[in-house]
Amino acid sequence: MLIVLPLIGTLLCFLLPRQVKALGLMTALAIAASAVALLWQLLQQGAMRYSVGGWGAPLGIDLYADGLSLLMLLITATVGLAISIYANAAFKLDKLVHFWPLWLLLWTALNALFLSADLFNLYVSLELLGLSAVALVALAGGSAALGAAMRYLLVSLLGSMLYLLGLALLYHSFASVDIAILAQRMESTPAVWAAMALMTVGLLLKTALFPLHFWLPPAHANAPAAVSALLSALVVKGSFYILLRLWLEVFPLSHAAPGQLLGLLGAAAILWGGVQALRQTRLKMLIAYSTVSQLGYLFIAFPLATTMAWKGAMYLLLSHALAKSAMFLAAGNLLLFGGHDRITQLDRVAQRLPLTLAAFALAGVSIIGLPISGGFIGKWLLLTAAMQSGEWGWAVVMILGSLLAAAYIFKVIGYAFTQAEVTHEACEVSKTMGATAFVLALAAIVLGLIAPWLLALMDIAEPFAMSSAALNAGAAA
Amino acid sequence: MSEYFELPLLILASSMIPGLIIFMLPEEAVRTRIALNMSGALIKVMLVGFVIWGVSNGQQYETRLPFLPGLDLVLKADALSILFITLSTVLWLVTTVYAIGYLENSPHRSRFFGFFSLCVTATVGIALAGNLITFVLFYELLTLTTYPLIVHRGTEEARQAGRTYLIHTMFGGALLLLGTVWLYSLTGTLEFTQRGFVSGLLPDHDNSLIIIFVLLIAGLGVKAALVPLHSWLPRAMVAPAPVSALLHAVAVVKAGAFGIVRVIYDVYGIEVASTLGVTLPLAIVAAITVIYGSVRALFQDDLKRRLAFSTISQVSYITLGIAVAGPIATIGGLVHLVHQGMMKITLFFCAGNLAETLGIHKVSEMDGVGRRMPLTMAAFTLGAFGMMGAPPLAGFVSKWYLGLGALDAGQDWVIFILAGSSLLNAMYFLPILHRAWFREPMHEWPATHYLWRRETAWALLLPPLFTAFLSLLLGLLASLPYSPLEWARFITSLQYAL
Amino acid sequence: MTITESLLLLTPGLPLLLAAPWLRRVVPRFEYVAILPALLLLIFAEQTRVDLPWLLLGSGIGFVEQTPLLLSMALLLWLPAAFSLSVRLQRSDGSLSSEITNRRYSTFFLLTLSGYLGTILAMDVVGFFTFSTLMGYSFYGLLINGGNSNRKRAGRVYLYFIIAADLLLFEAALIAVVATGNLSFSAVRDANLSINMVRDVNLNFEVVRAALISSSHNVTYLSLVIIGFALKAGFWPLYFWLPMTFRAATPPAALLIGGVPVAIALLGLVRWLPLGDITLPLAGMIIQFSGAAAILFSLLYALILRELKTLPTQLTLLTTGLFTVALGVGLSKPDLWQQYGHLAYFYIVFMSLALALLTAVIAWRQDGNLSTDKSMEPTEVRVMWIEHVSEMIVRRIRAMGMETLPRLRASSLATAQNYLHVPVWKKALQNAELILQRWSFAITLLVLLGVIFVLVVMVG
Repeated sequence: MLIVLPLIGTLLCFLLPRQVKALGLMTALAIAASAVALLWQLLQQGAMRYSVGGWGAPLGIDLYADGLSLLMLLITATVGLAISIYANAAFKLDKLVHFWPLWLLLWTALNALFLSADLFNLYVSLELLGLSAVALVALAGGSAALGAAMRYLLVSLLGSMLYLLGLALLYHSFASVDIAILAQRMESTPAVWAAMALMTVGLLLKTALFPLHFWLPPAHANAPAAVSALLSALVVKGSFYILLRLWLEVFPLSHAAPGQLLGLLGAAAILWGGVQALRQTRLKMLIAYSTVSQLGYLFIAFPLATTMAWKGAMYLLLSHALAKSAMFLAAGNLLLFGGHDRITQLDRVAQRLPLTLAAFALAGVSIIGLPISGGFIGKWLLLTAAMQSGEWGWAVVMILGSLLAAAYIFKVIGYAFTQAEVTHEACEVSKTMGATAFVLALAAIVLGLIAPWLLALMDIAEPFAMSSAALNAGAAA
Repeated sequence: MSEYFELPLLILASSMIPGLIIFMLPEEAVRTRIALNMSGALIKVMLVGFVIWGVSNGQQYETRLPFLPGLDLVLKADALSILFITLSTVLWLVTTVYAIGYLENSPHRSRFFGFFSLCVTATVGIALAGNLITFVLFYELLTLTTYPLIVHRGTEEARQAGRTYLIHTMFGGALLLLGTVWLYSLTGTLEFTQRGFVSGLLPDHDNSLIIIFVLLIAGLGVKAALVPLHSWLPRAMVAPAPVSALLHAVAVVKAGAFGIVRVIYDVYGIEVASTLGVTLPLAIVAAITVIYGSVRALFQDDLKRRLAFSTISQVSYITLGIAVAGPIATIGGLVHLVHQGMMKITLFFCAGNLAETLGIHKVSEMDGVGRRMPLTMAAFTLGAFGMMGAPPLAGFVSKWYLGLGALDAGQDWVIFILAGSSLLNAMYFLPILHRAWFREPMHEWPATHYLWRRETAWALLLPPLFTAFLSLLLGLLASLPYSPLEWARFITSLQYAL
Repeated sequence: MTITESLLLLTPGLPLLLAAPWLRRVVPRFEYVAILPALLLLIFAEQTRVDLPWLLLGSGIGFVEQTPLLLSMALLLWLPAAFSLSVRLQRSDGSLSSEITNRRYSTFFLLTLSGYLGTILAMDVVGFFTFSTLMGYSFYGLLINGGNSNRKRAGRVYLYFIIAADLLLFEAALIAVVATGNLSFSAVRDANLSINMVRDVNLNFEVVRAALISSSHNVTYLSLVIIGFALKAGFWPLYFWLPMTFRAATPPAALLIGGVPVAIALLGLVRWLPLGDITLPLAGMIIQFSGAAAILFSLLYALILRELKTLPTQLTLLTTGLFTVALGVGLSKPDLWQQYGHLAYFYIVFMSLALALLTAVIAWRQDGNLSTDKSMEPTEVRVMWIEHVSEMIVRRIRAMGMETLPRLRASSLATAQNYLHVPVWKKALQNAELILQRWSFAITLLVLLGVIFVLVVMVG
């Protein structure tokens, strides 16, 4: 249902370009509703496995939903809905005609990705995701956007290729691509490790982990605001999700070194992204680098590999999705209103858009990881996990990252309070656009209040159990 | 567990909800805003009064909300929090009146009062926090809500001050968070407990505990303006006078000091802290701060800057009293929490009046100002003498207990610190008074344009008079039941109960 | 509440209330009304005490054996002063500035009066300390109000002395608590005990004196108290403020110099010290010597200068010197003090009255007028070493606080800023990012190799 709906929407939007606004919105609502329905179902029954066409595991297409995928679906639905509303207000009709089909296609890909139970399906949806994202980046027009889109396309293809290569190796070894079956048959051979390395690197490339983030800032900064929000909030998370699944279920490691490597890269990303964000003079570039930095946090969970760490990373992922999309939307408003996004000249704009600014500030709170916000919960869990494992190095890096984040967020906010003459009559920003950003930011804050409930949701079918157990076994051995 | 589950929440809400509503009000809705502010402040005063009555009758007030697995958000009204919460509530009321008068006809009032209310909410939250995580939460919230107040004027100077403030407090917050997490990973609980909850770790984790202590105190010390971490405070005085008043008297600086009290008493427990040998270094740092702040205050020509350095010095009395680690010094430190707030807010109100009515910002411009604004300067005089510790004002009582406590705990050197500080206080306050009262004015003052030849607007005049009067009463009536002194005594006897 | 009790409260209370200008306005002849309760008290009172446990740290005032004597001194002293004040007020030329000056003058006058009467009635250390502080600072105001630079200088020097004295007396009071309460100096502490002890501490003079006899801190206490009050009374060699104030003060204030700060300081000595009960031969000897030296000095001074204007100073030094000798004798031979100690009160009374009389006569001889400021033209006065010292201290502190630390910090900050702002860093960051973008695929491969290496070699 969750996959088919947006697909139908895509087709409809494609066919009926005049009604895209209404159609798109209705589809978005329907998807959100079905995501909530799935939540209801999962709460009742626990994890679900559904075979498309009734063929079953080795041959057919299996869909699988546990706490992890459910949360991803929910967050996609929330952010997606908000962005849909925003896009309707922000884009003119000629852009919308292109935006809606692409966006719904992307949504299809995301939903498919979060529900797939086998690696090949994941590949297909990954590819779909990449292509529609590239097309969305190109939507802005102009040479910078096209160049960025081009680079993004290449990266996306390269990443998929690496992933496919790894997949082929796996299929060669085990004659299956179903995650559950692979997990059972897994054994330690060089081919498997090579496959794993290939897939990991492919996904890292798509997730833009330092030092493979080179494509991200231009792509995210040059796309229209709604698209940047989508890319930062959801698209990079898609590939991270696959990586998470692979590491959690397919290749349960009994050795710490690879996790340490990812953790190191993550730490480097936190610092590098933070520093780079601090030096940016344009708002959207700053936010894009902030994404690079924040993605690094997610990888801190890999060396720790305790349930608490995974949950922390997931929580960060969710709140980052909300906060970052709010931030990009707010930046879009500022850009639209002032005609530029040079940070030092934001003051005269910011004074006129209090709601947008409030959205930016609240989102900033979550990004920095100050209480009360989702970001704080995530960081708290990760920090506690790090401290409990006695690896306080990671904790220090995280704290430093927070300080850097505070520095670059307040670099922006500081200008909002300066008194400035309004020099030119700027163009109108509709109330919806400000409100959408604000609601998203508020949601990121609210995440900080409903932590017990959300953490309980994550526990459905215990997706994190295996990895921790494996690591413990490894440590014991 | 307790009968009044909601009450602490209500206390928070009584300032938070008006604050949030004020954000949405248009700039012109002056009356609505005033009504909201005042009713919030009054309701809070009443609620706190009720809580005081309840707590002294052995009632428990506790709100517990799930926050993280294994960690709750706890709001609890114990004796210590009552002390701080009463101070902040009363002073919030007063400062609101003052701010309404002060900011008449200035831009961005909705924003100002919104953040102002949130700032008080955060302070009250800090006071009520029943565990370290709740404390950290409101502590950071305080940072966030005071920042817009500091940069409110929107000048380049204000922006720089805000930046300095943020750099300091964010850094401090990070240290505090690190310490908290570490502590949590060791103990598995963060609940404030009478006499601390870490004693179980004592023999094995000594070093960790010491490092955590340093982290926590450094984090809190930023706000309490302990010496190497103080430089944000004098700069933050670019904020409008009501903000500086609240900042120096209650909100930020006190939050830091209050946190130090919590850490020493309810996290570590005084015995563990003494065993670890961390109290003496802290006392020394506080003593250095006391002297250093006074010395710097001596040569500031800008009145508010001088007061700011004086705050640095005076707030460390609290830390000093706690760190001396004897029961009587503790009473002195705790009671100074209230007394210093009362006196310093008076001084800042007066400084604000001078600036707002006559445009005086510098000490050197104050010649003869006592003729033009006798009531304001009378309040200032009371405040200044209180700071010097002259009897029978509030400052004397604190100093008396601090001195006795130092003797009692066998730390005689503290006496000299106190004497030196009093001397320095006299050296930087008396010249101001001398100028204001006994020098000839340099030029004619602008005439008053208020009814009955009043020196300035009611809203500006009454708050300092009220707080000055209170700081006189706090000293004079220190031995009455329910006075802060008696309350501090009560808290201390709980902490040291045998 | 009996009449005596209410009168007791009113005696220092009424002047304090009247010090508020708007209250004073409704009371005719306030300068006399303020003294009235004292007079009534003298007439009607029986011996009694009022304990005010709620006041400050628990204070009390009372009407005891020596009080009538002291009160009559007060009346004899303050009635002429009040008269002088009212003359001054009537002669006001009606200009705004003189009106303000006079209004202030009255306020300080009444505050000083309140403090003065309070110290006489105070029955405990803290109360005495409080009232004498009030008296000291308001007397300062009385001294310098509306005056010229000479008088301000005199006031400033006086202020140095009372600040120092108050600091010392504060410490002495703390020691008194320790002595009375057996606050253990860091022995095994019973916290509850010391908390309660501090609350219930009784600092009545009898208790303090009794406790100090056996206390081990009595020498510290003694030296603090003696030096503290010596500063306040202007004992030789700590008398610098005396000649300046005598020279600079105008009549109502001038009348009071001998009677107010000096006499109250002497009274303080008698009240605070356990004289007659304690035997300290060495200390007594030292004090006797310094008293004798003071007498000698004052006589020499009188012989050399032979100036009418210095006469009050000389007389003050002489009398306080005599008092000091008596004090020393009292310390070394307590039985003598027990026998003749009560004479000390008489001595104080006569001294203050005599000084007031002398000042009045001199002022009258000089210009026959009790209320002019004319005679106080600024004259060049040699700057005294005490002023040099204090100025030097201030300068040193300035150098320390103003320059050293901030400069150090500023320079280190500047260095740090330099490092941060060096274009090299900017360029490095910029270039690194560019390299990452340019060599993107190479880097991808590198990472791939790294991951494979880790996985295959280390794990596999």
